[in-house]
Amino acid sequence: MAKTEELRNLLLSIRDEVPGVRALAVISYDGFVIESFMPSSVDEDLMAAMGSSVLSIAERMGIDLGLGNFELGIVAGADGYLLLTKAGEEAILMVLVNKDVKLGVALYSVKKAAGKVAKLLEGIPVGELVASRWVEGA
Amino acid sequence: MRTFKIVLAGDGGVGKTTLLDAFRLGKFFQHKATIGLSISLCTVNLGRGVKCKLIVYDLSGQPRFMRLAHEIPRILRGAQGAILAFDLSSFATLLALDQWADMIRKVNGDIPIILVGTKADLEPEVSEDDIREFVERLGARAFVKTSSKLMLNVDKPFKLLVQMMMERQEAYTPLAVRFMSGEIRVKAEDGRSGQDRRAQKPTALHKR
Repeated sequence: MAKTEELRNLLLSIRDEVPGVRALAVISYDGFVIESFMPSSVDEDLMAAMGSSVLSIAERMGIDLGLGNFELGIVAGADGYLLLTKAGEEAILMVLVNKDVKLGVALYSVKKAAGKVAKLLEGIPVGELVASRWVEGA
Repeated sequence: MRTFKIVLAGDGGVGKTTLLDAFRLGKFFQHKATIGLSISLCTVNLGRGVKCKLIVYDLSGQPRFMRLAHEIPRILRGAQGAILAFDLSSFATLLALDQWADMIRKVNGDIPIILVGTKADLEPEVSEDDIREFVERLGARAFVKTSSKLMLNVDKPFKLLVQMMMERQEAYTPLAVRFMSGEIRVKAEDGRSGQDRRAQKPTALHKR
């Protein structure tokens, strides 16, 4: 099975396992979509660009403030949470969950899921996955 | 649709966001200073049905935010092209571009850069000779004079940059990725099976 298909299936299983998931995406550190399940009303490219920038800035703030290595970023809104975490060295997992979820459970599940994504992407040049995606969509 | 990440940078107040909005929205808007970083999407229509999506990282030129890109170069990473803007009526804004070009090149290597002189409707303070010198110094592939107020050439830098990035991507995308994705297929001229064909060199390549 191609890695892109494996990743798609993994994201589908994460969507089922993590409680209250509304959308999720794996993006590159450069801000490109690797794989995503986002509502059609949302531009996934824009979300990926913003997500990677937010994580990069949050990560740097954490280091400068002595918080240690970045683990997880949370953007809390009135209707839900956006959870951002690293999935290996080159990718980021972004998960949008409902407000009524138990946040602790969601955080635990997302971190676990990020580990699975990281394992799947191990040794694969993320740039190639991104490139194959734009070629697919050309 | 092909998607490109580009950086729009330059000194504060030169009209980067105004240029982007003039191109994107077809109207002249006056903006307050960009806070940190603004990310926008726009579609570039090159004609003949060729369209590209641009993710524009519009970086604040205010000195305190300039440090953001400097300290967190990951924000710039992966950019496939850049537009460096200066105000034609202020020579100092041209000088600021050295630093931006260095930062961008340090992270992304030799990506195409376009030099843009904004506010062409105002009395110029930058001479043609200065511009020529900076085009060379920054390694810019082109120079475009614009005026968002007059809607002069507001689409030109983006279209030019897309063309350059497409040419570069064609040259750099690994053949394997293009082959695996089906963009390039082995043309069967001898009617043999795929397995047989894999055992020998492709006889010809063609695009889908």
